[in-house]
Amino acid sequence: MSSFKPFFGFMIIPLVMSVCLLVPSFNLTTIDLLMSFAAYAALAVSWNWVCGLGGLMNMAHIAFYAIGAYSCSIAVAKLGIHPIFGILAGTVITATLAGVISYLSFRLKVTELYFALLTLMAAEGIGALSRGFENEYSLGGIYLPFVNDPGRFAFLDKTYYYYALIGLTGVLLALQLWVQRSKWGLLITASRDSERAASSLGVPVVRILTSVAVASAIPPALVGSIFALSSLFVTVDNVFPFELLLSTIIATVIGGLGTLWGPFIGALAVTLIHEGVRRGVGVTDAVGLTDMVYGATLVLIVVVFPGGLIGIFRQLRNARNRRNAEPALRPEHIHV
Amino acid sequence: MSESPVLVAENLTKRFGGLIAVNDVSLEAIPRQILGIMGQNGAGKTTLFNTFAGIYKADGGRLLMDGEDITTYPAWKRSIAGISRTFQIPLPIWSLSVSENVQVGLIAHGKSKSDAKRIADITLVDLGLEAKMSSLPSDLTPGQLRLLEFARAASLRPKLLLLDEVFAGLSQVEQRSTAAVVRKLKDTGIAIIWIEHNVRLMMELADRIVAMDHGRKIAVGSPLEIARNPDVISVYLGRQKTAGAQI
Ligand SMILES: Nc1ncnc2c1ncn2[C@@H]1O[C@H](COP(=O)(O)OP(=O)(O)OP(=O)(O)O)[C@@H](O)[C@H]1O
Ligand SMILES: [Mg+2]
Repeated sequence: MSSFKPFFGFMIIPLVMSVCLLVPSFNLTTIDLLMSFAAYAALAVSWNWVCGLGGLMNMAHIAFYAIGAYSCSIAVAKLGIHPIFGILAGTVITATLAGVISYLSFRLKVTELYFALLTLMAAEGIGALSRGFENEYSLGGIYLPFVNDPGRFAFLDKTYYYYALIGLTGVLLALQLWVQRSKWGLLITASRDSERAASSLGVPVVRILTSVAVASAIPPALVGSIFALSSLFVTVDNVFPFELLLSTIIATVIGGLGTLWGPFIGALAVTLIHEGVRRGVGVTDAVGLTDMVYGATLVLIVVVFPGGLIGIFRQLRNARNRRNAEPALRPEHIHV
Repeated sequence: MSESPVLVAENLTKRFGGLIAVNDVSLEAIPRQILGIMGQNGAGKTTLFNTFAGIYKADGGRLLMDGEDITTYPAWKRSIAGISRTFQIPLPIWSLSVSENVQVGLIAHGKSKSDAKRIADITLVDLGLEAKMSSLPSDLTPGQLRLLEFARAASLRPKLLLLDEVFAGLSQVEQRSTAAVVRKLKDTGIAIIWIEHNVRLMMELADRIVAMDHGRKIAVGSPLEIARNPDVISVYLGRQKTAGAQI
């Protein structure tokens, strides 16, 4: 049983991802809904790296997504080159930005709330810059050609982009599991929990947490690129929705900050909340019902399942283990 | 004298605003020796450790480790260079198990995961913490938290071990097993600097003692010399007549 456990963790990832990949073929729901679920999942899993594992409230995640969308669409629509160059450029830019922001923050001792504010301002700044460029050079946004050219990642059928997002999410989860079980896992947790204790034990805290921030900045750029390729239209208003940042954070927190499956489950919850509200009040959520439902869910989670939705599974498992274990531990059995 | 010092502190000074917490302190840590540091609350003992370990940057003076100037090294690099320390107020990594708390340092010092686990568990067994290895630090008593501090620092086999009141709050049994480990470490060739309020214990274990008062080093010498030093008696031992009488 115990020798099986380490493999079980890795086995369950392809299993869940396969189920996700099969969903479109049953036509149970629209591809757009699945796409947004998969995007939330990849965004939340990677935000959980920097915030849940690294303890850094990085609000620039959404800007990394936008940078990915822009670099990919500019490569295709403006430069006419293969999107892969745009995608790579996007990841290099976001990784560098994340590295610089976190390194400087450590140097200047910008922590916690200040770090959140700083990164939020960085995101705002990048948003304003993009708007400026858009007004100057590309009024109305960037359009990508609507063609079928699989060699250049152009598919008429959006399902392929959904597959890409699910594949990405699976890779991210496997990576996280591997890192958490490797020796890096301990070094990251130690760095997050106590800079003083960790550094006194020889852990290069700044390097470790900066690496985590850099790693977590790459997936949002990839998700942004996939968004650009699938929606064929990139404008400031659709790649900088504050809602996306909020949903990413909510998904991670209600799912279970710092856990493996929490953000994934949280992404599912957030998608269902969105869809529920959409069906309830129509396409435009003018009254902000989504936010209210978010708020209510958040309160519910904090009160009932402090560890996040993933905590429900834990509690069930613990309850079962207790049930199984109890008979052996009862005093009358010991005396027999 | 015997061996050459591992750590040489030259005229170290550390200020907090107007307060000079460590004032022009020089000392040497020698392998196979326990250097005791005594002084009243607020004398600057912990601050001195923090400037040794790189938690604070010194405002003046130099630190040499095996002849190498480490004054500007960050804390983690000093640890790698061979300085390990315990925190007076235990600073466990709360979300890691007791064993993992010890493993972190070993891994940072280049040990493989399995070696780190093996060494951590041996260290914890030596200190009588085997029953708590997979518990979280929140399950430990204050005394056990101090032992964990000690285990984390000692497991790294440093060249210099800085112990900040590791015996405070330990039971008699724990004091004895810890003292045994300290002696064992000393015999392996480690230099130890040890802050302790328990004068009796210090007289028993230390080879040399530095007495501090208001950030200054006021005396250095063998336990007997310190016990007879008039300055020390007037500022320190004089106020602890019972402890003084037991020497
Ligand atoms: N981070 C800090 N900021 C400001 N003042 C400090 C700081 N750390 C220590 N001090 C002050 O420096 C002086 C020396 O403190 P330190 O903790 O080094 O004393 P100590 O000798 O270890 O005392 P104790 O026996 O109580 O542990 C004290 O007056 C203390 O208030
Ligand atoms: Mg102190």
